[in-house]
Amino acid sequence: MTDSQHQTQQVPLLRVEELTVRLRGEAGIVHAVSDVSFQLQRGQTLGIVGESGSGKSVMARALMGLLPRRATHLMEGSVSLAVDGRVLELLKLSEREFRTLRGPRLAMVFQDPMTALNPVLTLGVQIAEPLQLHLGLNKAQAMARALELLTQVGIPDPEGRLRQYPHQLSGGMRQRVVIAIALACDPQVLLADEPTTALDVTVQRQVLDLLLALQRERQMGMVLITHDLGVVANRADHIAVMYAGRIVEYAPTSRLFSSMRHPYTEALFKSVPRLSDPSHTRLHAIPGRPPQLIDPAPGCAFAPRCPNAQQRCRRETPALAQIGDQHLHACFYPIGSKEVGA
Amino acid sequence: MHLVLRKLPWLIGTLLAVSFFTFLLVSLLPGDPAVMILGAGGVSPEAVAALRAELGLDRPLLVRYFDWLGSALTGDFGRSPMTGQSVMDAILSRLPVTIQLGVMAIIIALLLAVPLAMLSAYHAGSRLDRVISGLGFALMSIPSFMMAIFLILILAVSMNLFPATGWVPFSVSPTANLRSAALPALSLAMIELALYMRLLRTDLISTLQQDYITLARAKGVPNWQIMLRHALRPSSFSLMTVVGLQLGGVISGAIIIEEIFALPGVGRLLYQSILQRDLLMVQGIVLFIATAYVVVNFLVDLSYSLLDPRVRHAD
Amino acid sequence: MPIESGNRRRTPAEPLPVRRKTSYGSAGRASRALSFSVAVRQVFGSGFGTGFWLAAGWLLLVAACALFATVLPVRDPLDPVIVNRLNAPFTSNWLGADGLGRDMLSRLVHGARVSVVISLTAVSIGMLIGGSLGILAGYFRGRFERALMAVLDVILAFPWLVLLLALVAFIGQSLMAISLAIGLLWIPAYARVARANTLSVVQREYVLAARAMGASTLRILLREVLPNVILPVLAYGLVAMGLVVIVESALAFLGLSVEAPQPTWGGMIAEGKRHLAIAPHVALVPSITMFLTVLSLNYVGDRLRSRFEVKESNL
Repeated sequence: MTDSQHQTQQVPLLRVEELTVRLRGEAGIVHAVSDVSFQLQRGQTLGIVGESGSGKSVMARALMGLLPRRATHLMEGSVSLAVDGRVLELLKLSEREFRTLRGPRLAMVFQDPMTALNPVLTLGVQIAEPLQLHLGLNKAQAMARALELLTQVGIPDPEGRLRQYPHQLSGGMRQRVVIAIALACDPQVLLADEPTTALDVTVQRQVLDLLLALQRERQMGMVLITHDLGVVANRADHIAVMYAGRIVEYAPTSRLFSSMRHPYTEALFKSVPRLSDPSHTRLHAIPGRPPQLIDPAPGCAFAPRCPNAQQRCRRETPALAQIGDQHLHACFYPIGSKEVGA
Repeated sequence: MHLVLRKLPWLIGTLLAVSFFTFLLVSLLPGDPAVMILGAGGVSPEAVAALRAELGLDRPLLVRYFDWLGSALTGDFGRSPMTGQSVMDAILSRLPVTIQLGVMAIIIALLLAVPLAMLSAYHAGSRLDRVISGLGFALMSIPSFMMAIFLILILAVSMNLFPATGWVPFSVSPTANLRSAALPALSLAMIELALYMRLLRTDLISTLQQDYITLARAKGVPNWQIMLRHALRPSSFSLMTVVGLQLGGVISGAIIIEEIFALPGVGRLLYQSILQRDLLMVQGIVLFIATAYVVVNFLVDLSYSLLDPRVRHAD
Repeated sequence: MPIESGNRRRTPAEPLPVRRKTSYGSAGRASRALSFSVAVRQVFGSGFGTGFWLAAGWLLLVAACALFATVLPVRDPLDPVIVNRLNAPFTSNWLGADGLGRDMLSRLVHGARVSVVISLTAVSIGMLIGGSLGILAGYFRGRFERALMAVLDVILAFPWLVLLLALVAFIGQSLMAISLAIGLLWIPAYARVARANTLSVVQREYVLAARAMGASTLRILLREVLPNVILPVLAYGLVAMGLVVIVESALAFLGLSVEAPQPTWGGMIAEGKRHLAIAPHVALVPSITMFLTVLSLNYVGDRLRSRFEVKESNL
C-alpha cells in the first residue's frame, strides 16, 4: 500500500455493500437478503442478530459462495475481501477461484454439529482434508497438524479422537471439531452461523468463549450470527440487527445497548430472559409473526408488529440512516424521537 | 463378530423354514414321479407301487422331509431318477455359468449406474438429469427377455459383434467366453441398471442436501471430490441392500436368459427339470438357490459395518 | 425383475444395532417405486401434463381392445393365411402377419384380453389378501405381525419365477389359474404396503382418540384405518399391474402362460424370436405394444401415487 498508515487501517478486511440475494423457493422468489452493507476489520467481531428466517444464514452462505447456483435467482451488490494487499471482489469470482479462498481465507462454523460432520469419515481425515488441499501437506503432516488443532480446541485425548467417527463424540465435542476444521487453514474471516444454538446450555458458553479466544489469538475477523442478543452482548465489537433480510440497526455494541433506536431491537432485547430479573417476570414476546419474504409488501417489514408504526411506515421502506458515530438505523419513528410521543 | 453370533439363530431359522417350504412346494406338485419315470399308460399299478416304495414316496411327508434334509446337509440332494445324475453334481457343473452371468450383470449394471446416478444427482433438475432419468424409466419398462431379443437383433444379427447363442467355457478360451457371455449379461444388467441408478440418484440427492456436504464445500473441496469422497459412501447403503435383494431377481432373469441364449446354467437346468417333472432335481436347485439368497443377504447385512461406522460401533 | 424379493425387511426378531436411516430398509420394491416416482416427477414436472393424458389414453385404448376384442372389425386372430406369412406391416395386414400368416393386429387386440384380465385379477387378489393381512398386522402388531413378517421373509427368499413356475405347475394354465398364481405372488408386497400405511395411521391422533373413546376394534379398522390405507394401496395397484404384465409375458415367453391357441403378447414375442433375422416385426410389434403399456401403467400409477403421497420411507 502506498498510502499512509492511517489509510491502511481504513481498508477493511471484508466489506459488504448493498448485498441483495433472492432465492427460488417452491412458492416463489424469496427476498432473503436486501441491501445489506457492513464492514469488518481484522481482529474484530461483528454480531448479526435476528429471528430465524431473517436472512442471516443465507447471507453467511452468500459470503462463502455456498448458495447453490440453481436456487439463486439474483445476487447483487459487492463483497470485497482484502487478500495480501489486494482486494478481491468475491461475487465476480468463478467457482474454481472461490474454492481456493474457502478454507485459507474464509471459513465457516455451522449451526448443528450433529449433521455437519460426515458420518462415514474419521475426524482425522475430515480435519486433514483442507490442509492437504490448500496447504499441500502430505497425509502424515496433515494428521500431525490435525492433532495440534484438536488440542487447541480443547479436545481431551486428541490422538485417539483422530481415528474416531463423529457419532462417537458428544455435541459439544463435535462442535469443537467443526471449529478445528474451520480454523485448519488459518482463515482471515470466520463466519459462525448460530454456532451454539444446537448445544446444551452448559456447553454453549464454553464453545463461545473458545471461539472468541481463538479469534483474538489469531486476529481473525469474525461474524457471529445468532438469534440471541445475549450471545453477542459482551463478545461482539459491533452489532447489526437484521429483520426480513435487511439490517435495521447497526451500532457499536455498547452504544446499541445504551441507546437502541429501532423498535425491533428493543423488542428483541426485551425478549431475552435475564437472570437479574425477579422471578416470574413476564417475558416479552414479540407480537405477530416474522414476515414472509416472498413478494414482500411495500413499507417497513416490521410495521405490522411495531408499536410505533404510523401510516407512513406501511407505504415507504425506511432507509438505513446514520444518526451518530457509527450508529445507523432504519426507522421513521425511532425510540426516543419526538414524533412518537406527539 | 458379536453381530454374527447374534444374527446366527435368525439365519438358521430362516434356512430351516426355507428348506421345509421348498420341500412342501415340490411335494405338492401334481403328477406322480413314479408314473412320470415309468411313462404313462400300460404300466401295472404294482410296478408303480414298487417304484414308489423304492423312491420312499410311500412314507409320511415329515419323515421324507427330515430324511431329505439330513442328506441335503451332507451335500447329497439325491440322484435324478430321469438322468441318473447326482443332483449336486448337476448343480455344481452348471453353477459357474450362472454365477459368471449374474456377477457380470451386476458389475455392468453398477459400472454404468454409479456414474450416471452421480451425474444425474449432481445436475438434479437439469435437462441432462431428465434425459438420464427418462432413460432409466424406459429401461425399467422392458422385461429382460425383450431386451435380450433386441440385443440379439442389433448386436448379433445385424452387426455380428457377438454370437447370438451358445456358451464357451472360460477354460477353453477366455475371450470367446467373454464374448459369449456379453449379450446375456447385458440383457440381465439393463433392468438392474435402471433400478440401481434411480435408487442411488434419490439417495445422492438427499445426501447432497446434508450439512456435511456444505461443510465440505466450505472447506474448498472440489466438486468431483465431494461426490466421490463425501457423498457416494453415505448414499450407497440402500443400493447395497438392493444389490443383495436383487439376487433373486437376477436368478429369475437368468432362467429366461439362459433359455434364450442356450447357456448351460442352473436357471436352464431348473426350467427343464420343471418341464420334465424331475422333482428331485427341482427340489435340490430351489433349495440351493434359496439358501444362497438367504446367505448372501445375511452377508450384505453384515457388510454394512464396513460401510457405516455407526453400525460397526454399535456392538 | 418384476417380483424381485424387494420388500424383504428385517424381522423384529433381528434387532437393528442402530436406528438406521429409513432408506436402508426400504429397499427393493419400495425404493424402486420411490425411484420411479422421483424419476417421473423429474421427467414431467408437477401437475397432470400431456404425458399423463397420453399414457391414460393409451391404457383406455388397450382396455377397450380387451373388452371389445370380439366385436371389433379385426380379422380372426387364429386364421392362418399362408400367403401372408411374415408379411411386413402396411402390406397385406396393417401390422403385418406372423409366421403362420395370422393377422398381428387382431392377435394384439385379443392378446390384450389376457394381459388386462390377468393384471386386474392378480392385483385384486394380492390387494385383498395381502392388504387385509397387512392392515391386521399393522393394527394388532405383536406376535401375529412378527409371524407374518417371518413367513413373508421366507417366501421372498425364493426367486419369483421359481415360485411362479411351481404355482403354475400346481394350479394349471387356465386364465384364472395364471391370475391366481401371479396374484398369490403379490401378497407379500401388498402386505408390506398396507402394514406400513396402517402403522402410520394408527399413530395419528384421531385413531388414538377413537380408541380412547371406546370405539370397537372393527369400527376403528373400518372407519378410521381402512379409508386411510386404501388410497395408497389402490394407487400402488397401477404400478403393480405394470409389473404383472411383465411377469405374465415372461411366463408366456416360456410357454407356461395361458395355453395356445389363445394369443398373448409374451407368446407373440416368443414366436417372433424365431423369425428375428428375416422378419423382425413379428417380435417388434408386440414388444412395442407391451413396452408402451407397461410404461403407461408405471407413469399413470406413479402420478396418482404422488398425489396420495404414499409414505415410501415407512415401507
